[in-house]
Amino acid sequence: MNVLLAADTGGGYVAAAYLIFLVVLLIYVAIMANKLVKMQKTLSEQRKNSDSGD
Amino acid sequence: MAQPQTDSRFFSAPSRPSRDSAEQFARGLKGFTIAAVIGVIITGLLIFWYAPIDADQGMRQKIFYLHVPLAIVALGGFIAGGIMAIQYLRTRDSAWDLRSYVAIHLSLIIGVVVLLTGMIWAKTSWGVLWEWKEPTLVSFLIVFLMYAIYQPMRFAIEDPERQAQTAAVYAIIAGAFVPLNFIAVRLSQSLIHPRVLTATGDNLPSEMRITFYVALIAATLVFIALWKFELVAKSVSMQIKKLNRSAA
Repeated sequence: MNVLLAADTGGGYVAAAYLIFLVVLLIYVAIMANKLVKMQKTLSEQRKNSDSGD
Repeated sequence: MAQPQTDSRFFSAPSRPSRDSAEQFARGLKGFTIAAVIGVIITGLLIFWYAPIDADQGMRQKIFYLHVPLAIVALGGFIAGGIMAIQYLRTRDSAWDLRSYVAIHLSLIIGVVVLLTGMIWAKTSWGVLWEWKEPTLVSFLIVFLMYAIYQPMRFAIEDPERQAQTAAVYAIIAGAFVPLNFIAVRLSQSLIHPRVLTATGDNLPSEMRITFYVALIAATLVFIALWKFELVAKSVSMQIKKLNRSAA
């Protein structure tokens, strides 16, 4: 099985490269999720305002 | 008649009503997301369990399955951004401007990963993080920097109509530069960067070739899923801002 990251052929570097991809992807998703939470809050506030207006 | 859904302070109001909305952007998002997740899992399994370890480079060659597909997808995204910008200038539908903007924005993020993974591969293979005499590296950096100024340039213009038009023209010119740049690099003499995919075919053994193409498909699916996701998020955000303005 070739899953072992052999350090002598740059296994650490391979791990670092894939980790960078995952970290960037996670940061992107986290930023988008944060924006969605903010949108959800704004929508809730607007719903409350429209309900109190009725 | 459908009302324009992508109107905002940042994106120009369409002169023609847009048929696009968050719902239309979201069409296929679930399918693409599931396909992207499955694609990434299969790619991971192929990279570490199926593809053989390269006799020359050893384990470090595995960076190839991440670095090259992402580079192709990023360059493809830049070109797609240019094509969408053409559509915007043709139709004046701000949904095309939004599509173009998001494609370029995502390609830029992927470009950062391409540069970083490339530097890691360079360090482990050549012993240096960067080689200024290598046309492949420098040309990608030029393309990346060209698009890095797209966003500040875009948001430096206050008038939404002018902003969208200027950004579209820039995206078209820059998008046309990408394939020209690619041809120039192919015609030049490579210093140390390997040329795996050539005009006469690729130089990969079948297991590596299959893994590479699966990785390329997975990277494309991830790009499309994120592109659609960001389009929906931006579109909904714009609609909320519009509601806020009309409520104020």
